[in-house]
Amino acid sequence: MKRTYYPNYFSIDDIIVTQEKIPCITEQELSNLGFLDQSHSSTDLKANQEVQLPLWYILQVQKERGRNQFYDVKIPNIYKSTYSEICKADATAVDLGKLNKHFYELGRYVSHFDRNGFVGRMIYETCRSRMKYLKDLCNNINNEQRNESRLDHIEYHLFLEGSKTNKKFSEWLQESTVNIKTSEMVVNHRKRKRALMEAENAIAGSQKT
Amino acid sequence: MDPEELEFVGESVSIGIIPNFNFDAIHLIAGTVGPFKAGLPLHIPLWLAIHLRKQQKCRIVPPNWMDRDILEDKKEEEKRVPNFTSMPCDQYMIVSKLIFSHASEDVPSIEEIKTFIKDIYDIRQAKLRTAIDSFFIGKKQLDGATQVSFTNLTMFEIHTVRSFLPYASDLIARLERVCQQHTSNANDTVHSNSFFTSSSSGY
Repeated sequence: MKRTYYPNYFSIDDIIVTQEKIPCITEQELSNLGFLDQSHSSTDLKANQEVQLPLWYILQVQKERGRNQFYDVKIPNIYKSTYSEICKADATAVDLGKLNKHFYELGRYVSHFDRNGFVGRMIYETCRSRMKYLKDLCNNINNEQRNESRLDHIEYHLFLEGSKTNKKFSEWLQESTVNIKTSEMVVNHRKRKRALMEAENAIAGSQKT
Repeated sequence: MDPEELEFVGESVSIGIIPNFNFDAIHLIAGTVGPFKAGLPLHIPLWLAIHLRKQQKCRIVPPNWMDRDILEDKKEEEKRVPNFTSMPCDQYMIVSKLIFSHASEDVPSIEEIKTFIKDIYDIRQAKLRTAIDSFFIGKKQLDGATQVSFTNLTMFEIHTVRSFLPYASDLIARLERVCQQHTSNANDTVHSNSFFTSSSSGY
């Protein structure tokens, strides 16, 4: 698994993040775009109408801000003051996974539309105070509770990785590992060709006879 | 790296043994081992020592630092100094684990030594944990850097945090860049919101 996440054009995670619907208000009348608002059957979008639009669409339309302004993008509720107050008070108490599976990534995109730089600061501060908590969570390897709903997608993968390491090291220290298994890195390198070659030889041998 | 791989790396350190058999020198890629003369101490790689010890062909001479007084001093020093102290052996965890589990009879006062090593390891792990905590939350403001010293940390200890720390710091750094960019642009009306430019600039 790739543990450092950088969004790119082919990143599945990035595609999933940009599927998220963001509330917007139309700035002007848009003809023939009525299908964007499922609740109305009109063919056109009127000015000042609220619509939920996927993030990828907004990012495309908003390419040059100021010149191509069709929609006024609202900040989703989860990045608004109520939650930011909770995050400020105790970031570890928030079940980020329940707010949004991709809290940080979505926040990163949303911060483009936030003129005060408020969302950017909020996700940064939240992430920093949660990392210590996440690290402690990794150390409790006996703790079998499902943390998936409490953690952001990236956090969850970090947690899996961290707890796996801790488990391995404590097993090693307690000498409970008896059989050495092939390391994951070696498996990924496909360096062990012997088994494959033997199988091929067996097939070739049976064909000769 | 997995602990098994670290063990493999650590097994190459040299250790003294007293063989109880005679044998010619063995020529290996890493160097020549032997010749073995019964009763004459010599230095060989740890993996070979463990192998011979399992067959009752030698007695392992514990390394100098595996001594009650030295370890006690080390433990006191480790407690006193806020940073990590330099360990007498870079592979101390691996060497002691292998010797304790395969040649426990060759080490005098092994129980005490075991406790000291475990204590030292625990103190160092606790230090590492506090260091990382201050790394994550020490910086209250965006200006002013936190300084954390990881000098003298052994390879084994580094790998206990390696799968987590760099990636967690990556995430924090990425969000910090977003945060800084938007605080500095807060009064600007011109933003670059392109999906493509934002992904290629890679924050």
